[in-house]
Amino acid sequence: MRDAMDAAAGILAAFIFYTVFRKISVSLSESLNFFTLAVILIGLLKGEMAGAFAGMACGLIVDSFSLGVFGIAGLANTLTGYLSGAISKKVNVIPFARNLAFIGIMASFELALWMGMSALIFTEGVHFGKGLILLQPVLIAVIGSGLFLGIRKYKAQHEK
Amino acid sequence: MPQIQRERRKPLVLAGLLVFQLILISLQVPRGEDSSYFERGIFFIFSPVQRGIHSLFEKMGSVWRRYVDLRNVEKQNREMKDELFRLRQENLQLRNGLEKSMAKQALARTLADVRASFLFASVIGADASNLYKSIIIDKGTRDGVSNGLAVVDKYGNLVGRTINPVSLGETTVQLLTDDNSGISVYSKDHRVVGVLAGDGKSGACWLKYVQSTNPDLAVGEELVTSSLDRIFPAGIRAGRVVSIGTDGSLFKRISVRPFLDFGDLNFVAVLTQRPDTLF
Repeated sequence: MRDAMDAAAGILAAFIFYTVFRKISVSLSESLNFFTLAVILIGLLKGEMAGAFAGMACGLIVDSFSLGVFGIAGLANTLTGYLSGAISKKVNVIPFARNLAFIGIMASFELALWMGMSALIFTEGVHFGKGLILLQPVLIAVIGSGLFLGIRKYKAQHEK
Repeated sequence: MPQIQRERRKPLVLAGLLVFQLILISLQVPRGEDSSYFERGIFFIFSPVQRGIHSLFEKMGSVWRRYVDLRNVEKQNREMKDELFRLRQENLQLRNGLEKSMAKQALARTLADVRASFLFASVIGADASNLYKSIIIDKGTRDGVSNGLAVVDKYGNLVGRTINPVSLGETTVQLLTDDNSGISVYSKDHRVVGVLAGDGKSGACWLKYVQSTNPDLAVGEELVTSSLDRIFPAGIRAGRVVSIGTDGSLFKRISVRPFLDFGDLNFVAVLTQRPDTLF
């Protein structure tokens, strides 16, 4: 129950940050996908099932606030969330550098999957946001690994 | 449940989630652009959060304007008073001109209808995946908004039309720069009719279905809505022709720059009356 509430809080925080940044700067909001960040972190911290469900929830929220096919972002984020949790159990991604690389790879995977599916469905191609969308994996990796480190330190201090 | 069974169940649950979303995607095909109840439900739950955040921003801005930035507020007030004076003079001259061709009572009725048909709204959000596709406004069904109403910006330029999902207090507006939009327009100078569609990528539009043998259209011409699609009233400024070319097909390749300014899209007006009742 506690894990579900933490995941729900993470999804709500992602939505709030997405809305706030869309108001402040459209360019910034195109180069940083808060939903993907939340999904990967939930997958890392709570496991593959939490990551999958969080991915579905975040993806469906993104799809309901965009025109186009409902379900594409959901598919991409569900897989990303699941794989983040599953791979992190088999490979040690706790050291900062590995964590940074892992989150970057998962964010790139989600972006590639979403763009691939969109390109199949939308004949006019994918909106690149003048190239800003390609910054997403980098920014997600940097912020995600910082947050992951912060959350782990916070948990360690509390457990003491 | 033993650990091994739990581990075996996980890929099955993932497969179930993926199949569920594939079904959601497949259900879109017969529905076309109409949204499902599921999508509307999610929009209904989360759009008030956007509205709340927008209100918070507005309140913070209001505190700044009212108590801190008073010098600028005074300057803005003066400028707005001057503009209001100019607009009143212009309005008076236009009314005098119209009264020559219309009875006074009929004119007063028409102008009252026009005034009543505008529902002003704030833009509280944009499309989550592509900002040239749609925006969210803070008016919904309880304000009289429904699917398929024309939306203009504060200068009277075309923004797009309302589409589903429409919730109680929020509505999605499909922009004219969306690649799935199609608006019947004509050029003001030469009356060349075409369909304006967005490119969905860069905020530009294309004017489609103008035959390649048509010599009349020129670069720089203004395009306005024609009302042939029965959604947009006639005469709303849509864009200006930027370039005209051919690609060997039956139709010309005409690029159009819309008058819509994405950097200044905070307030819009929804035209709650349909074309045949407005003009």
